Amino acid sequence: MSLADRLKLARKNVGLTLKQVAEKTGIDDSCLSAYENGQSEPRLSQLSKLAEVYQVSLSFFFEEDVSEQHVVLWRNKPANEKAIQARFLKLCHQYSQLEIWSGEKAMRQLPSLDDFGEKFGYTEAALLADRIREEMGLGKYPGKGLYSVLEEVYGVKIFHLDLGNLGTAACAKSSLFGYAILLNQKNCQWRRNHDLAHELFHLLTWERFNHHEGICEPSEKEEKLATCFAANLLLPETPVREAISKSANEDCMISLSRLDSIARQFDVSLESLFWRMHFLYGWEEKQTKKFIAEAKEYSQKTIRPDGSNPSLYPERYRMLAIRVFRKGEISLRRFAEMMNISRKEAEQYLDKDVDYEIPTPAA
Amino acid sequence: MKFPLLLLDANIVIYLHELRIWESFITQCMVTITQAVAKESDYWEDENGFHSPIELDSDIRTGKIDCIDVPLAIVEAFLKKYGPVYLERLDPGEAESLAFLFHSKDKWLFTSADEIVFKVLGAAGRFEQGISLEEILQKIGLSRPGLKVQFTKQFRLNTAKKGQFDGITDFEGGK
Repeated sequence: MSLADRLKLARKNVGLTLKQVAEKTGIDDSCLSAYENGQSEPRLSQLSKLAEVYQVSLSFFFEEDVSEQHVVLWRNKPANEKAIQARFLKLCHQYSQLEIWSGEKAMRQLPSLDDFGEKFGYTEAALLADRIREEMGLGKYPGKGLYSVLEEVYGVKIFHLDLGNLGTAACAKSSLFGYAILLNQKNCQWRRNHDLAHELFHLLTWERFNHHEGICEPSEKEEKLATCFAANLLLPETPVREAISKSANEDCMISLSRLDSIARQFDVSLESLFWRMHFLYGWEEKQTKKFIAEAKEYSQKTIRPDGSNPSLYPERYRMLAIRVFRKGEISLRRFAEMMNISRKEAEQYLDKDVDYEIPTPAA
Repeated sequence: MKFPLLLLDANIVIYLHELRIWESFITQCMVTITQAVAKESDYWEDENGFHSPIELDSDIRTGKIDCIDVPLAIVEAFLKKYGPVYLERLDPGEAESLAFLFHSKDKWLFTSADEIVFKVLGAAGRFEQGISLEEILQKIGLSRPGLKVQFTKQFRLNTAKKGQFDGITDFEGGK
């Protein structure tokens, strides 16, 4: 693919017109058009600006092979989907490069679904949740540790971006960067927990639902299965039943405030807890919806720290970037860009790592 | 006689402004920068965090420094040999300067404060074409005490050796 074609492709991927690019880069639109038609070539500094606006790495313009076209599964797309998707993929690529340069690729693959048969319904989704909880060692309160385990042990690249009021979450799986999840920075902690579990389902079942063949839209059924999986994963049956029994009085009644405490324990919303109870206790849907409406009113009056404004960059990404910079594998300016900090701030990280001697194990 | 054939990286241009010796420096050295380095040398920051713009245009216009336009084909040739990934590890200005240096038949010297630049030079067997700012300042009589570590001779020697003897991650692998 020629440079001209790559320039055109990158611009189309972010959905910008030549005029818009000209405004953002200060490069005349007639020049941009000439670059895209192969009539003239940009300078490297101009390409660098274009790469920034198109959310691709500068090397994208010089690679010999056409990069893999990534499938990104969205749950409620944000208003500026194309631009956000391009940014998400760029971050994934950057993260993966940091893993390569630091020699710290995540060792473990997410569990496979090989032993599930042809049929995959709600029962299987619940079974999968149980198995994942066990394999990942998530314990009685999975919501507390899911994020860290996915990031640190399985190397899932989890980013938080502002997806506005419309966007919920997205995920992608690629042979280039592995597994990745995008969450809405604007959502509260327990909502993001649910979204994380929901997107995990898509990653686990990526091949089963043929997303590797380019299917970009999850079906309605798939979405319902993902929700079922998320509820089962974050609210395991036995601990939830135990928590509810302990909090109920002798007449088997339980107050909303106690249920709220249980939801906090599991790091989920009251609404999620009510839906879980709906299935565990076989409630009528009408009744459950009434409870949820009451819970929403109650939640508005109570203050619950919402863990808002999580950092865009995952901890592991930051740690890898610092390590790679200290190893002298990237320049100061690139490090500053990757961490979204100033050059001066970046200089603070220049100190060398300290090596500690550990005793050799006795033979 | 001026210190000859010297390519500067943007972090050097910026630091010379911070040390407030840019003017003296360019009267004693034949300074050349690439277009990308000129663009990257945008501002310098004083001790109080105050930003001042760096104006290189008049120095270029009056011939006090040279600004070279490196054709993309030369950058492509460099990337073909060492892998496009270097554009993700180096600043565009560094990549452009290295591409020019590797292409040129003249014995240019390149000064930078980034370890990766000295590693690339070392790994390409061009160890002697890297020079630290400290060494140049010593040679032209502008030595300053307490230079930041990345501008010192020791820093260059340590990192160039790493590139030369240990190899650097993925060098010539193009990964």
